[in-house]
Amino acid sequence: MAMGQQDEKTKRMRELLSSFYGTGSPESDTPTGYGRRDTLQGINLPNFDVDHYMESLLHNTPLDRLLQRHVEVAAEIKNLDSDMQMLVYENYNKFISATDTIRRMKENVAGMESNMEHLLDTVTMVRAKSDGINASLCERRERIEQLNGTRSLLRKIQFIFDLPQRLRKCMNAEDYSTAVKYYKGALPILQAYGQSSFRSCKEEVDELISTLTDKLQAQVMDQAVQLSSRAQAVTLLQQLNHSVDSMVERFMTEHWDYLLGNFVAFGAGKPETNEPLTVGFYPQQGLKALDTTSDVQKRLVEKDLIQDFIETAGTFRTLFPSYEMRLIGAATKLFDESFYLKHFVGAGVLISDITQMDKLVPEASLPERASKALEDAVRQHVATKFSHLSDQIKAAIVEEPSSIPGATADVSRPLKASLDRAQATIIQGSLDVLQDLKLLLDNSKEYLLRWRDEYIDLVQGGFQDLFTNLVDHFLSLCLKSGFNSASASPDKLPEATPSLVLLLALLSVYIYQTAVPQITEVVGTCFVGGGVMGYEARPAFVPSEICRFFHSTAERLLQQYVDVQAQKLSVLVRKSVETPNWLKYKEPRDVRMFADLLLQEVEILEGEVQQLLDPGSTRTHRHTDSSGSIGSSRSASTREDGYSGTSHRSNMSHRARNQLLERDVAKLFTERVEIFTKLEFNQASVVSTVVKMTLKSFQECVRLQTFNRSGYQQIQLDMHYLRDPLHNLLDNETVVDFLLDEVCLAAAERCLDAVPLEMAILDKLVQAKLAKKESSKSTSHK
Amino acid sequence: MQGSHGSAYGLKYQARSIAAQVADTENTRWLVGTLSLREDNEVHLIQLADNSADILCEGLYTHQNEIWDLAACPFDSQFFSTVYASGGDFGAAIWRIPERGQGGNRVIPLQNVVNLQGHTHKIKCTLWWPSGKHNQLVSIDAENLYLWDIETSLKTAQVHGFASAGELSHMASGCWDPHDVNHVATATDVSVQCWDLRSMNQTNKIEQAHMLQVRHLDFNPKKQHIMITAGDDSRIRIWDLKMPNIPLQELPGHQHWAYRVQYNPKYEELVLSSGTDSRVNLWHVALALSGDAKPRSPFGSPKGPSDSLLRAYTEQEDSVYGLAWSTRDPWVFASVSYDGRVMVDSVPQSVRKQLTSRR
Repeated sequence: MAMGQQDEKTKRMRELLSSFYGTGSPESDTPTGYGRRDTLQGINLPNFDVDHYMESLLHNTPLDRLLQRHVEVAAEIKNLDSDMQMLVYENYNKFISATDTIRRMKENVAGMESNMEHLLDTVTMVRAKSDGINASLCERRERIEQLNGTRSLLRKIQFIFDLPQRLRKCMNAEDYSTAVKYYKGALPILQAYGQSSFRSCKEEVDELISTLTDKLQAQVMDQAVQLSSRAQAVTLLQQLNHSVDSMVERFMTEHWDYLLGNFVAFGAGKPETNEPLTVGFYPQQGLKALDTTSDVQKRLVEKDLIQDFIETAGTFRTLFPSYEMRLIGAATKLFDESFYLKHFVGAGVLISDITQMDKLVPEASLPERASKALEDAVRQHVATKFSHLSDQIKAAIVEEPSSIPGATADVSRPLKASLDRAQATIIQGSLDVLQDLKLLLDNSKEYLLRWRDEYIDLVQGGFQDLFTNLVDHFLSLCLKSGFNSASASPDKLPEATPSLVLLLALLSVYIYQTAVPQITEVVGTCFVGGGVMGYEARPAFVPSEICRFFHSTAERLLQQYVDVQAQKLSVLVRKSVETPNWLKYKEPRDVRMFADLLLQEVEILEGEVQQLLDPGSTRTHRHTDSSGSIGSSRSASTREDGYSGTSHRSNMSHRARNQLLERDVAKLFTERVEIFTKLEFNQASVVSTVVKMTLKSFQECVRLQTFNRSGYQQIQLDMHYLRDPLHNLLDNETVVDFLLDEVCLAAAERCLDAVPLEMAILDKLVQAKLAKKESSKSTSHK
Repeated sequence: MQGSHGSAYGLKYQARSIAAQVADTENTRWLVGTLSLREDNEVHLIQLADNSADILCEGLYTHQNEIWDLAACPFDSQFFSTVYASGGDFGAAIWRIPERGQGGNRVIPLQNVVNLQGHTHKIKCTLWWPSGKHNQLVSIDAENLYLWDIETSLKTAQVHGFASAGELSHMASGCWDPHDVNHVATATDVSVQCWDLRSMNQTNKIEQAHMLQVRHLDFNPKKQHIMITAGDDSRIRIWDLKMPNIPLQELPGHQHWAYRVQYNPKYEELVLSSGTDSRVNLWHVALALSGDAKPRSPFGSPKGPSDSLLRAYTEQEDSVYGLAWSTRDPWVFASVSYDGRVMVDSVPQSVRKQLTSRR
């Protein structure tokens, strides 16, 4: 309790003091103290309402409490009084001590002023003295500095005058680096005053330096000198601002050209000395010789060359470290040039050497170049092979049979011989190429391994191209003959004779029947794999497509052969029909010339065809019974309709009508011969097609003419003459008879007065003609 | 072949020539001339019945000499011209179809309008002015070409111009350029010659149109400078006269001579040809003509001849020398074979659909 009162008392004291000193206690501002309860606590606040307090106290407090309160307040007042007395006393003490301190301070400060003034005087005096000393010394110092400068200048001049001597001494001692150092030191002065004061000196120095340069250059070039000193010489030269470019060039020309020359000579010398390099032309020997001693020798020589290269490159690098680019350029150039000359056979060796070279000249990326060059070489090799083969085949086709030695065995059948030869060329050539390329693949496993599939594709693509090319070639050869002036191709292809067309046709058959399957088989066994381009892409070699090309080509060529032959004969026939004036024709006495010509042509044709084609079946054309043919039965009915429609017309003579009827009836009951049958690859088909076309043309030509009686008889006679020989030639009587009859009938229809000759007379005339032919033949033989 | 067979009409005699009656736009009519050496010949005016496939004879007229070629007047259905020969005589004449008499179907002689006199060789064909009314006419013999001024009312014919292809040449036929009325092309031996009718000089030439005689030729009705030729080498070729060295296209043609070839007057893609192999072939010719003028690549025809051949009509049994599209119905054509049969056939439905849908 006493403690609590004590606390409250001190608190109030502090508040009072603070209100006395400051503006007010922090608590006094808060209205909470006042508003909380009307207690005595708010008594210190400025707005303490005494009346209100008193009133509320009187109102609210019972008497006993009021009395108690009175006692409390009285005690409090007493306390406060004593406290105040205490405070006043304390403050008074403090005031007295402060007054004492102030009095003492006043006494101490009094002597200060004079002391300070004295100090200032002393300092001023010291400063004036120091200035005096400085001034007296300055003049002397300047003098000393001037003297110093003069002295160093004199020393420099001395150095320059001594420079020639020093340089000479250094050069005698071969201490080139010191000489260069001296020279470098003197260089600015020499450059500045070289033209005036030190002219003679400079000239001397220049002279010396040029000799020095020469010496250094000689040292660089001297291969006997140690590499380090040579390198140092190069550095010195560079310090002397001497252009090293020319040196590099010289070095290059001397060493590199020598090296290059070696390489070139090596490459060029190859074909003469070593067989392997002629692989392109003699594949078998070339590849067999791969392991022979000569090849080993060649490799050794090659090794030497590589060694040379490495040494030279090393030297260059040491000498001219800053000319790296130049080296790379030179190396690349050397590499390219020499490598193109080099054949791929030795390339395997190179690959390993190149890794060494690569260490020296890493930037030149030689391995990539090498493998690229190798790839190029192989590609080129394959391409050469195929183009060579293609040329061979093409040459074999157009070659004159007589120019072939050994083809004499079958002179009577030159076409057959040509065909055999061409066939042999194709299959043998292709197999040789395959063999060769196979060997290459086997021998060069290591470095081809990486793109083996590509290589296989390459070979297969080669065959594809070869055959597509051949088809094109065949067709272009023949189209030329078929289109003559119309063809715009300016190249000088040899004119394709009909026999060549036939030859090509058969060659095409051979290719798709024999050659392509055989080659496919070999390719299948040797060149497995391939297809780098993925499965969705077409394979490089598509035998079925090739076969299809050749199949259609063969048919087209055969058709063309037949067309050309038939056209030739048709021209003959047409002339024979169009030339005479049939209306004024004299009585026939002899068979006309053209018949013999015609037979002759057919015989030649047969001669050609016999050489190349199988005889084939003798009856190649179909006979259709007209009663079974829809067309002709229809024709009968329509014809009758036509007649019935016009039958009332009367001015038609019975004879004409009978003739037409006879003709129609005859047509109905004779066998209907198909003139136009499908062409087949055999003698009978080809010859009979040509003859049929010719006779049909004959008929058409006859229909365009008008004959008198003798003209008709002449045609009759000609046909009669042709009948027997054509029978013999064609082995097929029906079709010949039919067509010859058609010609006669056409002539009869176009004849004003168709009276046929009797058979006896015809026979007689034909016999006479044959006899005459026989006698002329025998006389000509004599 | 599937579907409809054509209608047939039999003539009494052999025949070579047929021509559509161009001036008659009401009916599908053709004129056919017979070729009988020893009898009087006839000209039949035939009509394809509108609602059936029947062929009716609308007129039958006598023509003494055998008719080698026949051409209808393009502006007056009463007139037509024939080229005739009998024995050693030959000539060309313009005829008027007489009014039908009271006797109905009686045979009436033709009224000769004018004879074209002056030819020294056997005449091959006559060409009327290509379209519209005009009084000029061209006649062609083996070596010469004549341009006539015709006055049908006055019955006169005067030579307006004359050109010679040279001695010993064989002109087989000709065609008047529908795009340029001053031009006429002739099939001369293996070449095609173009003539300017104003100067009567040769202006252009396809040196070697075919290996053998060119038989017939026709101008494309829609495109200038494009023509089609048929020859004895059995081929049919399409040419651009601006590039006479190389044909634009070659059709396999026929198995023997290709004798006639004709563009459809309305659909230039359709070409009709006939040959001495007794066939009439209907071709589809691709429209992409100039531009890719590359002459046939080696493997251009893997599909074979069926590529452009729409249909082969095989009803005829002898060489088909005469061929004519109808001028009224573009889907109908007539052919006449040597044995005197006229066949009227039509373009297959599928082809019609294809062509009409493309327009």
